[in-house]
Amino acid sequence: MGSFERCRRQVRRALCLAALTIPLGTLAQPVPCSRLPQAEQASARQSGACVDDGAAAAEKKARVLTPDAAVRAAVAAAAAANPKGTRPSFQCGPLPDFAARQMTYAQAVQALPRDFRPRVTKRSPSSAPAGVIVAQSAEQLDGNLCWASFVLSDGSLVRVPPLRGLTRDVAAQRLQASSLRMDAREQPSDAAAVGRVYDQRPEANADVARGSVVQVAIALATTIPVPDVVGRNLGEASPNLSLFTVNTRQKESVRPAGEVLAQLPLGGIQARPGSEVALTVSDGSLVEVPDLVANSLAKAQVMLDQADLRVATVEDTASAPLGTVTTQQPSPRTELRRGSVVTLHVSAGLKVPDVVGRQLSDAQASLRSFVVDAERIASERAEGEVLKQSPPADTRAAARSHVTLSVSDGSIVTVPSMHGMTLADARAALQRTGDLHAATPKGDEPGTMIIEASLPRAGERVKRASTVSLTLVPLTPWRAWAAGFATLLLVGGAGLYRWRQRKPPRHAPQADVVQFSPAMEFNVRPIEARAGGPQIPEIGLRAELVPGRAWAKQHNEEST
Amino acid sequence: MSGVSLRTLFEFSGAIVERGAAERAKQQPEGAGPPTLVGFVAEAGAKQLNEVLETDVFELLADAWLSFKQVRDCADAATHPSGQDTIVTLHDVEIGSTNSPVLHSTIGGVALPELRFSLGLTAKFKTVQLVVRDARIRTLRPGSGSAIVKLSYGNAKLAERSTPQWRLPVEIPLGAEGIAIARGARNGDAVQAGIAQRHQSLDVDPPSA
Repeated sequence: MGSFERCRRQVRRALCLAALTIPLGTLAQPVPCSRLPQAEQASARQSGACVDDGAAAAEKKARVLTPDAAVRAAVAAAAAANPKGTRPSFQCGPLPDFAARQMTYAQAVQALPRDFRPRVTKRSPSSAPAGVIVAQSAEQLDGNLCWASFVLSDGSLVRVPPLRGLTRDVAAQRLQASSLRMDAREQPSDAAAVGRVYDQRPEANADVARGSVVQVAIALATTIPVPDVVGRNLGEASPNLSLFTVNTRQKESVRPAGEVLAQLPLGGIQARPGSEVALTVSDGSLVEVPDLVANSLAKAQVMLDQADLRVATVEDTASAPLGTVTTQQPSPRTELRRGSVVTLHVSAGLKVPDVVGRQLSDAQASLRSFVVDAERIASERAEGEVLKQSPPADTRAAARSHVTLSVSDGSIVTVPSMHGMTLADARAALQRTGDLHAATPKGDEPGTMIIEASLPRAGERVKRASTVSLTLVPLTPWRAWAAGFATLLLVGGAGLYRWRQRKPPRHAPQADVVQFSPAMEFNVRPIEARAGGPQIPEIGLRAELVPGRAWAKQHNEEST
Repeated sequence: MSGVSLRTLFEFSGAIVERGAAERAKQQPEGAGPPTLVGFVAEAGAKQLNEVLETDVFELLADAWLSFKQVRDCADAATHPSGQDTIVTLHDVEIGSTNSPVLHSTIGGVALPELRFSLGLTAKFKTVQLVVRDARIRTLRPGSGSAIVKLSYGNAKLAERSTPQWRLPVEIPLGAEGIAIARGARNGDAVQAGIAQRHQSLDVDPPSA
């Protein structure tokens, strides 16, 4: 080969090198740190994946990096193997390892053997800083040249840090620094310390997309105490039982709906996380029957209404005040479904009998269901006769309630008419009337005197055993005749009245005169009257009751 | 049963028997009429009739309760276990029955046509509770109620007695047997079964349907 030819080749080689260097330098340009997330800037700057803005500008100017000793040794070895550049049987020499190097470094003339021409084949997702070489290969270009093909990292991935053995907080900080998110789950484990990460997905050093979720398992103790949730609302209790499997069962109860009535295991018992905790929860369908006895019916109705119960009333004759609940069914504190019927026995009292005009003893017997209060008042009625009663007859009053009777003491009498009587007769009349005493102006008068007037006068009412002053006048013949005639009239009138009021005697007919025929009518006479006659036929009477069909109608109905 | 007899609601008198006999004479064909019962015989007949009115009212009305569906439902053993009391509360209830007091008379051993009255009983209750156990009504708890009894002979109305405030015991036990409710029967069957059993206990023939 002539000198011209060698010169031509060297010129062409220089031109090609210059042509390739310019675009590769552009591709391998480092990323400014300001473009990365804040959390990554420090690590990226340290690893060389990014440069500060000022440094990037300076590097852009320099473009040529100083190769390290290893690369320089490899270049020297390549040059020694082919000192003149004439390669009759040319093969690509060994390519130095540029992994984790910036592309700009590989482009340096001193770093790459002479026979290699650098080129970037593609950018690959990697957790390495953007522009860092992640793969390389050698390929023969022509007779004396080779391609040094590089795959560069695009910096889109991040590397999962190792988290095992870390606490939850530290693991979270590590992941946050790597632009990753954490999904921590606590699971019982004997393999790791309680509260430490014992497993992670993906594993450490795996490359994942930025912002991915890393699942970590944090060790829990094998058993933990079960929270006590009895008496709490199910909605409040559920978060406390998040480490357990909760099974609920509804039960009829008077407690508010949703309240936890019982739990198994009991609160405080050690149990494995994830084990079953059975809760019995109130459905609130029952209500407790209040104590209504001794309350008024109106108040009892209000109480039942508030308890969401219905009322049915039954009249009772108990001694409680009228309108008062005497008994109830069901009994207090019984648990019923809402809307059930509670039957109240309400005191309706007893009817007060009419005892006015009757003797006190008789009235007391009639009023034995009540407490009788008798007050004696002055009256001309017979002693012991009931004059007035309170409450009045036919009103209703509670049994053993008080009934006040006004009873005559019989202390008042009416002055009889003694006109025309002799003094002896007048005294007798006054005595019969009410132990009245007669007083005359001159003491005992002869029998020829008769009563002219009295003071108090006849018909006036006076106290028993009072004294009545009598005025006497001499008995004249016409007065005697008049008195005798009046007496005769009275006696005769009384006899006539009795004669007119008499009942005719009833004579029993003779047996032999009674005849029977199919068309006869029975006479009005007692059965006993015809018992003796042998010819009187026996009369037989027999009654029976033939029951009929029963029926029922109802306007409103319900059952409990 | 309850101790409340039909006689407390109604009593025959001699005059009523005489009027019944008169109505019978009117309604009988000419010539077939029996002798009219009057006077002391009518009084004696009324006495006989009053004795049969000593029948318990709630015995006569027992079958009426079987007309209510709630009562019949209590015979279902699936929903009402054995030995458990069920209280059926009924409001505004009206029950009744029509019975026939019959007076048979003979003269010298010769039977005369019977005197058949019709006695309609209607009872109203504002509230009544029935305690049912083992498909039997065991106890009645009547509230305030009223009763009306109407006596007639044929189509002729003879007397009417009203008891606006019927005083009844707070609780009426129906004895050890109670009133049977036929299990698994339909509406009419249950009532008929109950009626048949009731008349058997009364030792009388049930009326034809």
